[in-house]
Amino acid sequence: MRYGWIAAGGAAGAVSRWGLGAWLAPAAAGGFPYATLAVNLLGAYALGWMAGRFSAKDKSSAVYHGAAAGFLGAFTTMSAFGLEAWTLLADGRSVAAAAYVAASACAGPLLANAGLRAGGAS
Amino acid sequence: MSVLILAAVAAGGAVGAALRAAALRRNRASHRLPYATLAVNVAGSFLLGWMAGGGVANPVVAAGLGAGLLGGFTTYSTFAVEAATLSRAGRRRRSAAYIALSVATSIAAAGAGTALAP
Repeated sequence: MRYGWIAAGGAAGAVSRWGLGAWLAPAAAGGFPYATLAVNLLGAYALGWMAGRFSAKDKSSAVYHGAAAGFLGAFTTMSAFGLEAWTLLADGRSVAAAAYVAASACAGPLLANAGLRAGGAS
Repeated sequence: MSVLILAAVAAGGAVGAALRAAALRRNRASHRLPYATLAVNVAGSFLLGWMAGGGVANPVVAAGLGAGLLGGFTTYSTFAVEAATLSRAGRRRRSAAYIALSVATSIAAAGAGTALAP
């Protein structure tokens, strides 16, 4: 049952990420992976908030499995980040690559921390 | 075509998320770092690089495996919350090491996948 909720959330999360990427594609005309960055930072804050909001007991609920492990896990992605950063480096766009890597490395954990705090984590 | 792609991304995302959940059961509080998340992200980055380099011709299959399966399998939100949690527990150096390791190995794995693609 647990995996059923995770799979359902994962399907919705992957489709949302893909749809947002297609929608943001014109904005990414400069070749900077804004879509992945936006999705990842948004998901980091949201998962932090959920992790802070839900008690240990509630984390075994269907809602948490579907929304956290399923939707937010699949909505955000590390594989696209790795490939995009590598591609920027391989194309010799080292400033863009450095900005992308620095934003992904710093802003995500900071936003997750802000989410945890907003969710009431001790 | 785009309905087929949408269905492929949804199916891939469902399978990828379930596989990740199964793999992350190996994350243990006793571990110094969330190795299971790291392993999932590195493996997924390698495979996405390999796919991108090899050029899966069919756009439906490419979207289902890339944006769907591997996008759903790897995760950034869990990584970010784990890094924040280590830091909040006073493990600041460990958190920094986890962040550096995750970012560097994901990029290197994607590059290795691209290079090793047929």
